[in-house]
Amino acid sequence: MVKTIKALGIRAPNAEFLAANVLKNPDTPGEEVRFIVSPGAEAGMEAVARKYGYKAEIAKGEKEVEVRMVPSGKTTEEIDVTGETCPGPVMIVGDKLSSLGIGERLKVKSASADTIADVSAAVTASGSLILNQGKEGDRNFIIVEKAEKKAVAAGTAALASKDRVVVAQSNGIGNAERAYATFIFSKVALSMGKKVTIFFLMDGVGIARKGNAETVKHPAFPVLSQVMDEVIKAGATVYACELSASFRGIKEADLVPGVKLAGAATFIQLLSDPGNAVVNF
Amino acid sequence: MDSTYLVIGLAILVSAMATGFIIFRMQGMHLMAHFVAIILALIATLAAVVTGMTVAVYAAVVLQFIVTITAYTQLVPTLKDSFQTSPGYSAHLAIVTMLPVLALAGLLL
Amino acid sequence: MKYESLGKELIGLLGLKGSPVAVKLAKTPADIPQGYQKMSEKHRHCQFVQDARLKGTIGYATKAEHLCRGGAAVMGIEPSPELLADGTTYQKLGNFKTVEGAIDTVSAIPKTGEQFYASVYAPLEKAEFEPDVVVIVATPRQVLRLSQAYLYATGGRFAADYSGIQSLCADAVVAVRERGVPNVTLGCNGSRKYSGIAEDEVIFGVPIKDLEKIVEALKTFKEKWG
Repeated sequence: MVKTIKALGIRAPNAEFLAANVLKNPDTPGEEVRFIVSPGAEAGMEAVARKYGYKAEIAKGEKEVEVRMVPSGKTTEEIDVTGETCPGPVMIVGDKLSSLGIGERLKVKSASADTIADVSAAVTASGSLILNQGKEGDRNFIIVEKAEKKAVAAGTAALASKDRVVVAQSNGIGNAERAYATFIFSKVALSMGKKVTIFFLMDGVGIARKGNAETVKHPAFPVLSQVMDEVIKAGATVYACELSASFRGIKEADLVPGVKLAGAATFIQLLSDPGNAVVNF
Repeated sequence: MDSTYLVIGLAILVSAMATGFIIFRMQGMHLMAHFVAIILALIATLAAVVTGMTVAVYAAVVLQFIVTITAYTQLVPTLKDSFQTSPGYSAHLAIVTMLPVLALAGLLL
Repeated sequence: MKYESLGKELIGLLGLKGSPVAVKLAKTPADIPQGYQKMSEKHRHCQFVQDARLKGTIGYATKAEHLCRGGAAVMGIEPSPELLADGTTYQKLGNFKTVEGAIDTVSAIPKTGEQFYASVYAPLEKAEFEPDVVVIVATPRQVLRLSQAYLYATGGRFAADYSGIQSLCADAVVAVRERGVPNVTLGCNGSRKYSGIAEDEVIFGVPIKDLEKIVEALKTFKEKWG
């Protein structure tokens, strides 16, 4: 966790005294502190940082200056996702970011520029910031700073960003690729901080019948039941269409744990909500 | 024993390789047992046609039965709940269902 | 009571009139200490502090009990009233010559970025919760001692900042809570007029983590200086 202190309006040298007192009396030893000060107040901050064993990184804006005090010797964490294929990199970075505190940074590297672009899209969507990007040798990189997702006022949510993903699955285990895609896309969406609802309908409900997903296995992926289980445990809401289930003689007790029967109205409601992005598999 | 039926069985097994490959891509490793049976039946039938040896013929007949049985045991769980995708499997099922009839015909007629 | 001795020592060492006041911002109703009641009357935050200090009042105030919306807003208890947020009110009240000056000041007022359910108050010696901040209303001489006590262990200079508006709320609670360092503030028109902060009193806000070492330093001063 990076402590952020807004100290706007405080002029030099008082801002410097304030910074010194903060660094001398940390909440947790060695914590990173970010000061937001008014232009001009950053004078002397570098000296304060040095005195207390920190390194000051100063980013000047028009109205605010960010002075980031990083304990000397603390380096930005790095991960190299070269060789990982979609959705691996997005999920690895998503997992890593979820373990970081707000304001902490992560450097993500890959030989593939496309992978870095995909990861950039995912971290931006989850509310984090891309501070820098470029190339070092044969590796493309981005530096990500974890940020809290900004709340959007009700009513404008749909226009600003769709934070919820509905995956409609109507092909069932008869089409393994679509069945896998249902859960792999869901995992990626969850790792991007989106709320995921899976709706099984028509052949799709077959996936939810106990024992069926265990029969689907592609050499490159874990058995389908495992991927489904991971998605349910990660918090996705999973519905099976009541009509499609009864069409196939599937009862609530036949469904894998975590899947609920739902009527057509639930599906229509999910489709009608402008905050939902709908994916069909 | 009429080798005509064996040759037709061989043709069906060759076709089953093609239709099988298509459904293998939809279903994955789950069908492995069935495809091993097709390959073994293909080898045994080819051996029976070429050599005409009784042992080879019986082996071919048994393996052809196994091909049909495994097709159903492996695909029924999928087809039970999958109505829309079932036509994708019909060509393969139709073709391998001919095998036991032809195998018996080869033995008895 | 965890803070009984700290509170009593502070009063004794400094000769305070009234008690240091323990203040906590509670995220949810579950964060309200057990047995604490809602304040019975609507008041300003500074008045709640004064009541705890001088009358020993214990309790908490949600949005409904806060009379000063600006105070409640900086503490995250209610959204900022627009006229306060854009500086217009203070310019009209005569605090600033220009709207730009008002905006500059208003945008720099310490505000918490979080949302809170209520503010909780108790005299420190009776507090049954871990306060975020202790607000001490004291004479300049007493605040001099407190500042000296803060610098006793590691030296340096004391940095105080205020703008003469939103004092006991923004300067003495929010700034102290967010920064983790003490602040001194001189009150605002509201707290001077309505909440009885006297002519000869100023306000010292201190994070709870620093209080023990301040009391220790005050004891040393007492031994040396009497």
